[in-house]
Amino acid sequence: MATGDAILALLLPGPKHGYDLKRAHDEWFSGLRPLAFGQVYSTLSRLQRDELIQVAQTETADGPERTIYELTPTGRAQAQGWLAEPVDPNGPGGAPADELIRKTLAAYRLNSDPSGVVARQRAVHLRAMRALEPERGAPENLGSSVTRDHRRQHLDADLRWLELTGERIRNAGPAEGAVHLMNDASPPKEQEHG
Amino acid sequence: MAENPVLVLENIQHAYHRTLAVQGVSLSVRPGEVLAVTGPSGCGKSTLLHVAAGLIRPQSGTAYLFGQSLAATSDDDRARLRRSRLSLVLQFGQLVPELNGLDNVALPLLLEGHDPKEARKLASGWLERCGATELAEAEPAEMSGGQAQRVAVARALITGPQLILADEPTGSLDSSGGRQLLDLMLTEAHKAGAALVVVTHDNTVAARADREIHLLDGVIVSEAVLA
Repeated sequence: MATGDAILALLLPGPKHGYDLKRAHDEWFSGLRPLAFGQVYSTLSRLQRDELIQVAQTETADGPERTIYELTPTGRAQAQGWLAEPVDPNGPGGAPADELIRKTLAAYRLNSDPSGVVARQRAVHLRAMRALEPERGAPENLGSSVTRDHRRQHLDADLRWLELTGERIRNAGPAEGAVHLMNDASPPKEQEHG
Repeated sequence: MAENPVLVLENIQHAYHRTLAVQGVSLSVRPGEVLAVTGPSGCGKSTLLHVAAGLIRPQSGTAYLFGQSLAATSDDDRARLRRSRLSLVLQFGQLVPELNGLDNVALPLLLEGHDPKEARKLASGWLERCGATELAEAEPAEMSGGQAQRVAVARALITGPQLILADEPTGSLDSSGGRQLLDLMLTEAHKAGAALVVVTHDNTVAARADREIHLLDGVIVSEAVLA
């Protein structure tokens, strides 16, 4: 659902048609692979089927008909939840890089507490790293050590990236043209800290 | 009722040559708690630790150790506090080069006027607990980084401190040596019921703490409860 979540986030500032969404995606997440048009329309179709977006209007001026989409209340809640919820680092292969990058950049573009997104992700990663610690006195074997080392090093790489990203966001200041749209997107305080 | 914190920092601010190193940091540490202070180089984490230890007098804000304001205590009293209830572990051990391992460990007790024979006997016990018995006769110059750190940890623990402040204690060690030293510090601090504040840039060290605060440009930007 990574592309779907990103498209929902892109619709938070307001309705857009498919081409606008592709252009906004490629601008917001300019270091990632550009979104293919086919992927945009298949994702929009799926999001509409799931009642997360709906048609706001159709335009026919100056060329072919264009459908403009907007978030449904459910879609808005899902987009806000996606921004507020850290990426799970415990899945197979760890935290997906594209998901980490998209979520952080979307929070920055939407002026939706990007530093908080980084902080919550940092906490989740540190807890995952802590959970890797073997029980005191538990027997060690090569297999478990090698596996644990691999997981730990990947989490560490993500944590270093998060630290650097936190610095970059802090130094960059608010995103140009960003509108604070997300007052109700922040999770409860205890989630942020615990 | 919650136990009184062993360390409280209130709105600490400190600058070096007009460059703010710490900007309005407040935190408290509970008895027995392990707190990691992380952040990139120059973020102010070591300055904060030195303020907590009473080694730096902050330009504004107040540090309380065991309920006592450090601003209101004399230099002598602060030094006594450091020797009795507080211990420091620094990156390179900072052992006294003229003393062998045993006397380095015994030093805090000797400075407090303990019987030298008794102090050395206790020091020998701590060297053993820290896996450094063979370093009793060695001089610091003959020790590896890891060995010097083991001796420094033994020295930090011998007084039965209620608070251990450690600045990059594993910074001079490889990953395996660092893990062993951290295991030792966590185990012994836990046994003694001592709180441990560890300044580190190493995420694997931070992840072992009960709580982590992350500093950027002298400001706490995040706090995570890990246990």
